[in-house]
Amino acid sequence: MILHTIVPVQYIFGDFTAQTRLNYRIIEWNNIKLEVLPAGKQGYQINRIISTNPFDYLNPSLQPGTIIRLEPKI
Amino acid sequence: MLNKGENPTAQPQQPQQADEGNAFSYSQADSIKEFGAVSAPAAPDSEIHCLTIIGQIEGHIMLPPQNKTTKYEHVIPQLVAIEQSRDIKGLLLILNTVGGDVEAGLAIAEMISTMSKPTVSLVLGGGHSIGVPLAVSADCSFIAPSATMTIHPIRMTGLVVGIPQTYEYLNRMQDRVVDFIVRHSKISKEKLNELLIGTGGLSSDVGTVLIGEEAVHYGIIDYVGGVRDAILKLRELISQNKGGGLH
Repeated sequence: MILHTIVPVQYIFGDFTAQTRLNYRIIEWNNIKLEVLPAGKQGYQINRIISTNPFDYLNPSLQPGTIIRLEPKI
Repeated sequence: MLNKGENPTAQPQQPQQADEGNAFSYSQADSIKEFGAVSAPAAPDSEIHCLTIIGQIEGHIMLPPQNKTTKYEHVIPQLVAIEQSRDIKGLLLILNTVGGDVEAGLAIAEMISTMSKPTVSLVLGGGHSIGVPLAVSADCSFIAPSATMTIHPIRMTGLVVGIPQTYEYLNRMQDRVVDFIVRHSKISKEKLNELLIGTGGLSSDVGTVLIGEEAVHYGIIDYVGGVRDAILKLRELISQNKGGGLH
């Protein structure tokens, strides 16, 4: 692998032990990819939206910080 | 996703449903508790989709969590979807990247350059290293007056076997990047190679930093501009493309 970047390698691969490793997960919700952080039982807090549709970013139910609940559908 | 024909009847009912008895500012968040039963408001369809490439371009190796990354496994299917969609007419590529994996960067750049739909790129902040091929991959490229692009040679990290073949390999890898830029912009190979090995521009590396208009001067980027110019240009390309392309 060749990294072509202006960021020094020690910043990319350096061990920043002071930083807590957050357990981000990427889920798909209503056809929109979301980067979320688990928040309680079956809950996920939205961290960022991964979408090319600019209007997804205006959707109030997808604003970063919102907690969505994924309950098993029977 | 809703069909176009269903929208007029479905839309007026949904906001009322969501607002019932909800003082909470994110009223939709509560309604999502009944996930599966309640659908999110249908987002208006956008003719122009926007792909933002931020931070490092992450390829074959996952980078540690302190890096902000754009992952190729997310971007490539999105590009395929945009290419296939009947509703999406054009793609705006927004770049604020420090570079990253050569293979992933070139893969995304090749995808964008071979799309049938009009594409316009806008470099904001920075479009460094492997961000340069990405910036030139679009049909038309813009750079903000304050944005920068660093042109510098690729390098290898980790264990490197010190043999002549290593040098040859590195040269060929560099040529992949250089050739792509030359193919998709107005700069000549000689001029680009000159910028690549320029001294005095960077403190700890060879290369050249181009700020806003300088990138246009060297022919890498087409115009200096902002989001308005980029969207105007994209709309112009879309109107020219009507009837053409796949759909």
